[in-house]
Amino acid sequence: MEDNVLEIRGVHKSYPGFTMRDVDLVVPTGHVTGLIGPNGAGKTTLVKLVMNLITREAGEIDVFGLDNLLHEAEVKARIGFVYDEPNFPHDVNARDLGRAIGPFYRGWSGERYRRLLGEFGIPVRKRFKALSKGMQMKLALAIALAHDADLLLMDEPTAGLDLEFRRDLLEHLAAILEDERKSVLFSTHVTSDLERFADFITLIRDGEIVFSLPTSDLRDAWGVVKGAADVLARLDAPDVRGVRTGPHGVEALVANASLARTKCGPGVVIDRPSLDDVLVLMTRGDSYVESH
Amino acid sequence: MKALIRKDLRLLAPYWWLILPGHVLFSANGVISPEFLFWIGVALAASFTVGLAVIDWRFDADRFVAALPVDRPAQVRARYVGAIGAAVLGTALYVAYGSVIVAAFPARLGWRTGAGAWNSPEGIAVFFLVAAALVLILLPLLFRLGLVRGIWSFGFVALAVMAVAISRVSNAGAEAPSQALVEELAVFVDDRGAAVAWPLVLASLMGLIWLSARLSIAGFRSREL
Repeated sequence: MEDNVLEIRGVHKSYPGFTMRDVDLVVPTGHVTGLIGPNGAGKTTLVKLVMNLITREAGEIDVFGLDNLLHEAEVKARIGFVYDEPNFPHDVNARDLGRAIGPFYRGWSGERYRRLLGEFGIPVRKRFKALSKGMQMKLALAIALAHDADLLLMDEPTAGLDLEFRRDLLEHLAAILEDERKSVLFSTHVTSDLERFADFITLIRDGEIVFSLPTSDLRDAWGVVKGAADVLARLDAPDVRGVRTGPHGVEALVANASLARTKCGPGVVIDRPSLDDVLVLMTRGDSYVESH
Repeated sequence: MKALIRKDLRLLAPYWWLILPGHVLFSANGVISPEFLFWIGVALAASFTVGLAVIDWRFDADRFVAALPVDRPAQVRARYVGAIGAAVLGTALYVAYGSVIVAAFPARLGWRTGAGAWNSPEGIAVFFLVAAALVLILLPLLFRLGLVRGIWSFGFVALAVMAVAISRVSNAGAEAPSQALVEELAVFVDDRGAAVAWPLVLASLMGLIWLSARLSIAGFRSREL
């Protein structure tokens, strides 16, 4: 088995008003990688490039060690893909959808599909258009899982779902992932969805990968320094990844919380950063600070 | 390939109740004239291709299909097999409806018999060739431009073809466009002999299918979904 289920090297893609340049990304096998970034950062573009829904202008993409263009069918047979908007024909029910899609996959199991539909509470004879948005997303997930995919590629799967449904969907997903150790690339701008079960986090901004790190590094080593404006002067500039100034002082995201603690001394609050802090401070803060 | 065609048939399944009675109803109007039956039959045969494109477009399903483990050339080839299959089926239905109409209304106007008749080999071949030609023009436009822009472009192409056809019909003094085509094919077969003419017709059709499919594959490859 390959160490990395997905390797992206030097990929370039441009649209009017948007350029993705020299993107490198690695998704390790058997782990959940969260791809975060604000709207328009390039998350969907990256996912579409992997699925060959759009054409890259330069670079290489290997999935399971195979070029995704040269081995398109072979690669896609091992990917479970979930779009931000499930887009199955509206007049078909879950049972017939399974019958239409199943023959494409060697690993498709009708029994597994029926079990997943049962677990997710999806009525098999109800037309797709009659299902709620959350149910439609669960159906997309059931289809992605029914052929025993090695890589789940999920593009904003929780967008537009209410909190309860999101939690329910993610709990199901977490349970399945815990059992089977599948590789997952999960793109979202709702960072709280990833807090619990992402092993790695990749931040993309303006078409560039800002960092790709184990979640534990972010949680344990990084920090949010909160204090008066003069606290910034005490921090090492290269260590500061983002700054936000508010009426009550500044918040600075630092990559080395213990060093910041030493530099700032007592009286300065240093919290563990949530993914939301990371996203907000690195993409919507006072200024972008280049990472190492 | 088989999975793609089966998938298309399954996705059409909820609409069979609309398609089948619709087909019978429209074709029944063929009693008005053989020309009417000809063009309604051609339109119905081509509507299979348009119908599937509409389903894809309406539900954004081309993105769903693009995620399946088949490459784009395979998707194009499957759509051609379906479209040509629909043209064959449409031709069979045209012959069936025509036979029923002629049997039920023997004195009906315009149903010529003998050489150049609607049910002569040339008459049936022209029906199939026109139905096939429609989808061979339509499919590259759909694959390259998507449904809305593809249909618009097809409309312009169809208008140009109709203008040429009408001028040829009026020059030839034929009664109707389809009749003029049947007569031209009959003359072609007479001039060259059946043993040469029919293989030539078949080879030309295969060449057109190949060319159209190449254009569709190139167009679909460069289309962003």
